[in-house]
Amino acid sequence: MLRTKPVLITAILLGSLSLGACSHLGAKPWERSVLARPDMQASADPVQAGLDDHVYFSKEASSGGRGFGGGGCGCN
Amino acid sequence: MVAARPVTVASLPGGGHAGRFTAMAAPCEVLVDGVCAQEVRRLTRIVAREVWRIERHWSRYRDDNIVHRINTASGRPVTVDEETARFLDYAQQLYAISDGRFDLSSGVLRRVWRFDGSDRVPTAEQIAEVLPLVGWHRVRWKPPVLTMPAGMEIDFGGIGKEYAVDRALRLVVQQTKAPVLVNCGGDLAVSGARADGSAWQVGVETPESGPAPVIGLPAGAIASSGDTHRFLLKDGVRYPHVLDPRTGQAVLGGPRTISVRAASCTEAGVLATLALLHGAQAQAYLRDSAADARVWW
Amino acid sequence: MQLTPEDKRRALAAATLTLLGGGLPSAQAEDKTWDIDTAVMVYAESDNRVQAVEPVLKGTLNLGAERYFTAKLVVDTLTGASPNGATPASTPQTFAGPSPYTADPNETPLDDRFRDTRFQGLVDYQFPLSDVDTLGFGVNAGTEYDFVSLGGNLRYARDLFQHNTTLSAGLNFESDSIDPVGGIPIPLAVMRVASDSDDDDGIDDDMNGWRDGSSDSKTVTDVVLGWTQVIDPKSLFQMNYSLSASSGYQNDPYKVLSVVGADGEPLRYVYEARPDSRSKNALFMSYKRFVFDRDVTEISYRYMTDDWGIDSHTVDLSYRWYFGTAHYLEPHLRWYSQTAADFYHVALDDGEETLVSEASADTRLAEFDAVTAGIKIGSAVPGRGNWSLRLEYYQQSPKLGGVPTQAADGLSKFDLQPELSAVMLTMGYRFTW
Repeated sequence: MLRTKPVLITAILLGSLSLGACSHLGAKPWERSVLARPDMQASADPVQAGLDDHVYFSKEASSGGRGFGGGGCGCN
Repeated sequence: MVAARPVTVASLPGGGHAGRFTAMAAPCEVLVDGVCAQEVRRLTRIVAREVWRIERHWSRYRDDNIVHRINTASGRPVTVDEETARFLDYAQQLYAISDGRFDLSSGVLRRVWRFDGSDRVPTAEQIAEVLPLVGWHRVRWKPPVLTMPAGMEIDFGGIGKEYAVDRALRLVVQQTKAPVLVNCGGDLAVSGARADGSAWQVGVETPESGPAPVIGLPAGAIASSGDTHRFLLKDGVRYPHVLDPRTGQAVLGGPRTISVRAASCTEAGVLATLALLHGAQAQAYLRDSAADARVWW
Repeated sequence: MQLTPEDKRRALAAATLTLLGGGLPSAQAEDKTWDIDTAVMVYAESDNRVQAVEPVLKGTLNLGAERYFTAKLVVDTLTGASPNGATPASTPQTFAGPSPYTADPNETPLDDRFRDTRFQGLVDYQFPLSDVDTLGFGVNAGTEYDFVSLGGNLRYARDLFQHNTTLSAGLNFESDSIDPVGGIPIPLAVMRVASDSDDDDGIDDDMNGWRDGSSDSKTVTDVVLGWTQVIDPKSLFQMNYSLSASSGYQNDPYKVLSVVGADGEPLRYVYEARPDSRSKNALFMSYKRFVFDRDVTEISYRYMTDDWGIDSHTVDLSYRWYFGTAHYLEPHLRWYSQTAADFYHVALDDGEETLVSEASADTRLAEFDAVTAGIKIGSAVPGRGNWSLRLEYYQQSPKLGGVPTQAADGLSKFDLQPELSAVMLTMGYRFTW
């Protein structure tokens, strides 16, 4: 049942339907199977990212970037 | 909830208006005979909302719906809603009727078949690796509880759009006496003959160039199936985007496009799909099934 | 049962009628599911420095219709020693306090009184306003032995161009209060020495450095503006700009600076003093791509600059290689480089503590480069429990700076900024319940 569809036009339109716009950036809804993968999400492993943020917050003068700037802990 | 995707209304060159929206990755249109643009907009909204609802409900690309829950249940039983239950009943009957050719669980084959225009036809080993995850007979469907072996997936994509067209048309005819046509990417259904009693004239896009052949549709629906745009080419053999779920192999030697007329869009879609899966015997299958169809090779 | 084609067609028509004749669409009654994400990190620095064990439990309840409730609990157990800011000396150094500690000759003085258990919790709720708008808000709280933090955030995201572009804005507010052992030291005041009277009544009899029993606080406000763009069906780009403004008590109450004579030996120690506000700007960019129809690779870059004089660059690279059908190996590299804060000093010359208004010897504010290299192995089966194991090595290479001019020669015999290295082992397990 994997198939694609030819496009029908209703003849009373005396012409074809204008189908979609040209795309140069982005993905069409049916092209999103890869983007829907868990490992393709902007934050694929938030718990691990949080642990990393905590380590680097404790050892470096920068924090955050990917999200809010960590913190919530004293200095150590 | 605000529907964010737009519904537009366009004036047609021959008079009248068409309501348009996008759903299930396809352009959709609603034609209504003899009503003003405002009424077309109102009816199109009703159609669009229903099609979008079904899309949300059964899309494979979301992680918040029943299909996602089923596909991530990893062997655990899932209780489904009434509408999904009806669809699974239907799929189960079709599986039996079609000798296993109509199979909701065949989508897993996508992992090895990638129809990107290349020559990367999967090997027998690759197919053998995913085949254990395909087959409705492995699924336990005791309404309303579905239990599927871990790793298997279901996909309503093969027939969901036709179902949405039928459902949306049913909703919209409760709202108007005017003749209505609902078309989603070439699968369409009408409420009956046009205001002047004539049939709707529908053009079909075929693999051939030249003017599109026109099919008259006084009532019922048309659905088409084909592989015009997606196939693999290896050693001169064309592997169409038509896979037999029983073998995992592409069905060779079949027609390019099949259009079927039937009482409902869903039925027409099933017939067109099953005909394609019969490959070179497509025409014989359609004839035996007494299907009203046109075939392009 | 052998059906003729006509039978099959009739069965199909009947089945289709049944399907379409069903009741009008009813509201979905979807089961609620929990996505449970757990991890434990073991962090160990070389030379008996800080050791930490940090378990995390996070649960996200899917309430259907894209509404999510999240709760997260982090526990963090710290032990070990941390440099207190003082420079090495040729003779043993003793540091006073509720429990005095001593540093051997030529060793970087380490405050080994680190024993702390940190608890952090948050709850969060996210829901759609429409098909393209999402709103989320959360509150979080953290508590340590001498530190309490409370915060809240609000986030808004809007999808444009068929969900190919997402613009987001977030606001985070945090209020911290710090209540150190023995009170808050007066910045740049001399730290009392071990022989000072200490009659355990909690009163600092000679007022040398401790404002008795006082605590202090700070507030942090973060604004994050984000843009996520789907480039094509296999890649996406993300860019965030963040502004973080912090005001109030920024010092580390346990950190000191050595005041050294021309021979580089310590004369006394003074408590550190940082500005009472800090504003940081950061630009973060990341590009993620699905490659070879199998793997996922990501590269990200962050630039940060603040009004303390610190600029930093971070580059992060990872490649997730899928071997077999459901397992991956993911090497990871990270480079980091920062400049020192304007008021960073390794130590102070005699009398310099009366001339400066701000000074800190905290190694976090020094100039250094750091590298992290790691490897992660894990499973990725949709709908199954997925485990992961990650081992990372982190190394900081300081660049000497902030050396007091008169004592430069005298200090040159010491290793003023030893390298820091650490190993991190993280185990994760994520499943749906």
